[in-house]
Amino acid sequence: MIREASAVVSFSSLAQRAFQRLPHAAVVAVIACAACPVTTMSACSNGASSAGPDLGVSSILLIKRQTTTVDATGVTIDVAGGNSQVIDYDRYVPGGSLNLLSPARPDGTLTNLTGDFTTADFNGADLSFDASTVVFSMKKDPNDRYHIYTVALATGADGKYQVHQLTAGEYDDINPIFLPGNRIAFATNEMYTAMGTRADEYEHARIVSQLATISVDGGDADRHLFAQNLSHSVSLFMRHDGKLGYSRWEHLGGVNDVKLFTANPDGTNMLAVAGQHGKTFNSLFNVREVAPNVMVGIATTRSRTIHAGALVQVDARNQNDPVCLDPTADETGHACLDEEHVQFTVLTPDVPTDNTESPAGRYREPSGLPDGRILTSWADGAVNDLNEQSATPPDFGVYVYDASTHTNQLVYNDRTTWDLNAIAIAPRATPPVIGDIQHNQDATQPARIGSVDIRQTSLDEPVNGAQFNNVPLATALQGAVGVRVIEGFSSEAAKGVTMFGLTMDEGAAVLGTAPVYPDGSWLANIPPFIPVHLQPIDKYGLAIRNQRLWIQGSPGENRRCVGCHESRTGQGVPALGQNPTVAEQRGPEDLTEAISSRAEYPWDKVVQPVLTAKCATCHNASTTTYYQVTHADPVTGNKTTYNIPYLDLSATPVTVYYDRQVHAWPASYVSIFYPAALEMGKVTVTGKVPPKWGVPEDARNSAMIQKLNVQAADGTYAWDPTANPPHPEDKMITLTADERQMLIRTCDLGGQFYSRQNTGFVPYGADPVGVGKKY
Amino acid sequence: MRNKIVTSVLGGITLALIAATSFDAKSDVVPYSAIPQDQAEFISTSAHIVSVAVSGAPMAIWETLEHGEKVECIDCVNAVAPLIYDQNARTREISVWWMRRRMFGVFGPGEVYSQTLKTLAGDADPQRRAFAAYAIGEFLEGTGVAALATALKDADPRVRGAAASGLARLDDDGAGALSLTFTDADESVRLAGIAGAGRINSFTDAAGVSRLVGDSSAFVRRRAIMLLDQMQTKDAVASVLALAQKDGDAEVRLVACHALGSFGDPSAKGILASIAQNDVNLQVRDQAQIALRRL
Repeated sequence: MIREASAVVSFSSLAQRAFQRLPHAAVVAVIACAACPVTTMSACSNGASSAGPDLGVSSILLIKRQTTTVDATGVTIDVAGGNSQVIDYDRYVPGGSLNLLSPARPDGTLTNLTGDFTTADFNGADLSFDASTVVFSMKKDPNDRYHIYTVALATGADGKYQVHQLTAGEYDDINPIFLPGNRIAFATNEMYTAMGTRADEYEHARIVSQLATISVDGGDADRHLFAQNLSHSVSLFMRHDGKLGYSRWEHLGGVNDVKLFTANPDGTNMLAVAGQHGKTFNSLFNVREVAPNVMVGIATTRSRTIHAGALVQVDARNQNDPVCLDPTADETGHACLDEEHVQFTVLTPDVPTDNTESPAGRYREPSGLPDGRILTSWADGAVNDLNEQSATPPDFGVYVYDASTHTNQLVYNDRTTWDLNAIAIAPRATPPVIGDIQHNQDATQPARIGSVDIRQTSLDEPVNGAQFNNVPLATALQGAVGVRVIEGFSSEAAKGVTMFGLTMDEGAAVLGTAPVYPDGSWLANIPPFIPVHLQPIDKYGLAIRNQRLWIQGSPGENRRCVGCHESRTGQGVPALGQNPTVAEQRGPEDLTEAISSRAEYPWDKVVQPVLTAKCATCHNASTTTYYQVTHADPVTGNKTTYNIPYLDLSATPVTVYYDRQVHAWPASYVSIFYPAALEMGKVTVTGKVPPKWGVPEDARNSAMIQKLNVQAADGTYAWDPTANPPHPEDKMITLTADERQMLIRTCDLGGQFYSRQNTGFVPYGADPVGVGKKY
Repeated sequence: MRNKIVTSVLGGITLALIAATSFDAKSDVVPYSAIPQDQAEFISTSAHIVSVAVSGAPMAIWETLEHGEKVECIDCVNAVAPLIYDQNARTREISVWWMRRRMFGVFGPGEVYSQTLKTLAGDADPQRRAFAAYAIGEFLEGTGVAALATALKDADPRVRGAAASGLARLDDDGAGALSLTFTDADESVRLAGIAGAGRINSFTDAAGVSRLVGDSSAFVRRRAIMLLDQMQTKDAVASVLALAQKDGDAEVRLVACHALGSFGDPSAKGILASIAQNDVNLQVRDQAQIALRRL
């Protein structure tokens, strides 16, 4: 929910507690710098004094990023490259630097900590808990990649700042943060798993970024990769409880947004923090925690805002537990993170959270000051496409934002650079070190997932279709008999295809279905590292709900939920009172088949043979009607009419070409899934359009499945057999139970034509975590 | 992405204003099921695709085409097809991304895809041939492999480099043709070949890459070592060790040290220990130290 700015949580005292002030001399010496670059200061914004605001700290850290390159071919201005979406990370313009501003005010002295790297660009920085060292991501030149470096905020014996390089290799490491226990976490696009590269389906050629850690002392020698999401994970932040937080792009079928997640420093226990429920904007990123489970960040849309947006406060505290609201209380044993009831407060109501032209500029990369105010970058003007097209980059400078007065006060602005990632140089409380649950990269060790009682849910959603008519999810889940575990993969794993068919869904394979026992429990071993999502299924094999969130586990990780999105602040109790659950007593279902053995549903190899044998005798080119799509060639004016079959379930190519290969595409696929695709667009169609025979992710509401009807082992039917007599049995043709289930799964999984089994999938040969190569 | 300032700023502002004010940006369609509005993929309208494609507004084009993934609009193809040859690389990329998802109007006889193949094979303008090569890769159509393999012999290095990138997008080395780039006279082509090889799951020509550690270009040596590192080419230990010790370019020495750590060959310990103590470059010493910890 969105609240008015007046409802902002007063967290100044909390923030003061987080920052532990050390003696001034121990913080950072003021650096005399005769060689500091001359900067052009902008006028103070909103009434700041010429000396600037008192930040309560002597120095701040900031990154300068360039937008303009001058070479023999002329002047090049890069505003949007690598910034067009909030998860972009590949914008490189030489000439950036990492700097200290001391004192932290407009007339302060700027000291370049990375002066030896004149062609560098930077992508994220963080300060150690004792405020002695900075970790940052730097790309030294166009032929380099972004990697992780540290620099101490005190000069060495030679009077220079000592820059240490901790990572290297043919991948980019960005957005680093310090973790307690002498570790560093960051996002990386290092490829791994048997898929090789993970170029996100919707991020084109950009390789998906995932999370990793190194040690401060060992760098890449201690490199540890986390389980992966199907899309990018970026913008890491430290949490008070020793866990790391991050923004994650969620793309699963029709879901497309950026949410907050958390994970243990060893990569285990990846959980949602905020954004899954109740936010009114699309993307939440650049977040920093300013008090336990209270964060500030950027609310924006996913694209066209140059990584900028409105400042937002994210209060994810459990409002029903007084301990969670008391910053002095020990929250041990209390469920203080309530991701389901997060309160979002836009602090800058004049700044749009979509990508329209802003009347009040846009903000980037906020952080907390010791007294609770917000240090942030801000640029006036449109901060969107207008800057790109008019070749006028937004002018990001560093400001203090006062939420109580809605004013910016200038701290520093160089009008020739983007001044970003400002952080107060002050010690802060070191969060507790969370011990490793696991620290191996052995992909042969499965992850274990399951629920105590899948029927426990806090989701207030109706279920419709088949036996359910607007039935609450909690009621529908009473009928769950199994949990279908579905692996997701991008088209990178299906060589030679452009996408998976007439669907928005990613590649899918069923790892298997774990039984739900009488107490509602279930348990399964799955391959580690890979993203999966779940579908509780009823006795007919129909999904009751499609989980719209990827989950994953590390090797050997044991992660179990209470229910199917149970209350985040309650306690789960096994339904039959016993501990352990029935599923634990029976042991986990083994769903760790190798890729080649997983259940995929390649249309031409699995689906079509059944349709040809059982359906096409009646539903074919000679029995179907057609509807038409007409195309007029703009040059010749010649019109071509494409005929789409109403229902032709044969493998015969349609009489017009379909997608790329006229001879390779069966009419059946077009017949079943094109009507649902039509819903997505504006096509001039003539003729009678059929019902949605197949609805991706929703067999329960697919007309074809209703027409077939399905009988459970107890003899009941999903649809009233009087009104929906089983078909094709009513025509004296028998469809086996397995064949029916195959068709149901084809719809529930997303209506893909392609899988790895009917494309040129080639496992990647140098998988860095593929010990044993079991999968 | 990158705008040459030599283009008319005023013209740009005009176009941008058009882009920002005239779009019917989003539809209300929520696909498939009751997904909350903040999470749902919004769908561009066909009218929006046409208007934005001719506007020249880069970010608007990128967003609109991405969210127009499932919009079956045949006339939009005619508006989007010229963007294959746009000066903006991401506009080129996303225009092809959108077109390759089309059921109609792109892959039929004489339509966009075959026209692009024709441009690659015979257009007089090498820049257009290069853009066509990129596009052939982005179409992700397997039949493009042969055309791109042939283009590796084009007279213009821009085309050869683009062909290497295109093969990488197709995840195919053209039956070994990509290795031609490793002996190309042009540094940019060799670099494109190395970068492309790193993206191909089935690429195995480690010997060809290993020869590049003796390249005259420090950039090429550096990227070749990074690729050998990624490919875990332990046979290259001796040559990489030599570069770690003696290459005049600190960045080459640095990546060589990292690769030696990845290879895990203990025979490198002695030399790495020496580098960790004595190299003049602090970051090289760091990498030697880290490599030693990995051995």
